[in-house]
Amino acid sequence: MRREGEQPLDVDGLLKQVFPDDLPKDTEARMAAQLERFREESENIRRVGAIRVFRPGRPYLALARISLTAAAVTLIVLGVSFRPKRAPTALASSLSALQKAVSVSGQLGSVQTMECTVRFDKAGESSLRFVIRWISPLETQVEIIQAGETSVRTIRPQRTDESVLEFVTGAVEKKTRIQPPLDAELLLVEDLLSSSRLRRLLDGRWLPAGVERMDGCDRESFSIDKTSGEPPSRVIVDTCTFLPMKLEKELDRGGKLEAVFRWNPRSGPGAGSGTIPS
Amino acid sequence: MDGMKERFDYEELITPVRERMMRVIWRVVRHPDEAEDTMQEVLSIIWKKWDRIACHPNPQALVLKICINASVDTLRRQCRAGRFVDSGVIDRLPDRAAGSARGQAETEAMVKRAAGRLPRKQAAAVLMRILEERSYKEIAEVLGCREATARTHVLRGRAKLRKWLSHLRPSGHEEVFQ
Repeated sequence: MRREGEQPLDVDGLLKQVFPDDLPKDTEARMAAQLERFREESENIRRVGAIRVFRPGRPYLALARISLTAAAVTLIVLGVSFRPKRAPTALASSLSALQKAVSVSGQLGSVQTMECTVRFDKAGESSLRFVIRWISPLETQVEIIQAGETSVRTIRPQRTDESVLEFVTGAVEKKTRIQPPLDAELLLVEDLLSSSRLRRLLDGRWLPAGVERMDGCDRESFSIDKTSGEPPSRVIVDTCTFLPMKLEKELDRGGKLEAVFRWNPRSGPGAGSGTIPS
Repeated sequence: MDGMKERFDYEELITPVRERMMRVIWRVVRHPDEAEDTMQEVLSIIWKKWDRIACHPNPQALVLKICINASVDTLRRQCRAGRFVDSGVIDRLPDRAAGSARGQAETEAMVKRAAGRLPRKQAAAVLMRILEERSYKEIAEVLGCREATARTHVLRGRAKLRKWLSHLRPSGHEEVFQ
């Protein structure tokens, strides 16, 4: 509210008086020099830029971004698509096989009873069949079936409490003895007469040879290369129990062994009493 | 620096407004060293935003907007620091203001403080309209708004200044000015 007779404030005039257009010559010269320096520097940069290697401007950058994004998405899609189909690498397979070998060896150390049916074939000879039963860690029963006749032998392997180190280094072989000395037929299946012998047989370099898909547990087969130069064995392992289901082995002396296992792992204090399911 | 700066054309975009840039900075800042600093800041902003300026429909207007905003920022810094050293302005103040109890230097400080207190767009619009006597169309181009909006900025800025500086009337009532 203005009082009567008062003049309105001349804001425009006041501002013009406080901010007059009176640029001093020296200040003008200094600012002009600033502008001149800016012009020279920008011109220099422009000249340098003209001979410089191509650098994409904004539209090219946008195009490059789109291309890179498309390439990235494509690679991701390809990676996802091919991942399940891609064969595992040699290293992964090797590690997986080694893991299975260790698991099987560990499981064999914990079982006491087993029944396996063994068939021995050799060209020019009648086939031999064996039924081997691990009654207990100290008693193994072997049925030898040849030409319709069956004979039964009871073997008492010497108990060995080999350590893992001994097993790995081969010291276990010296400690495990089969009493009494074996005859020619039993020598064919000597590696199946005790768990420590079987572990020794399965010792070697495991190479994956295929997987048989089952409803519950898969069965995976491996070829076992022996470092001693023996012929390779082939074993099929149950991936749930990590116990061998079937073993095929070429013998040095000729002929082929084929063993099918039925396991009865120890499940309690009295489980190792020698009863084998028929 | 990208490809747009390689096409920097000083003659085309800066030369036409070179004189106006210097004058507007000086009129608002009114201190030689600070005017140089403000010009340096303006050139730095121009260099950083060169792509935008080159693509702008009215690049000279955008350059002037940068000058005015930078000048008002300097004015505000002066207000905060209490630096109003243009002693020559005292001689240019009206007699009635000079004859008041405050003195001319204090009056100058109040006017500057009032101008610096305005919102940025209003300050730019008022300074362009009053000091440079630009048309509302030009102000709208500089501020990047419609002409009616520019007119509103000037109107409101003037009203605020009139209110805040009402005590400078010969027998006006003084308002408390923060």
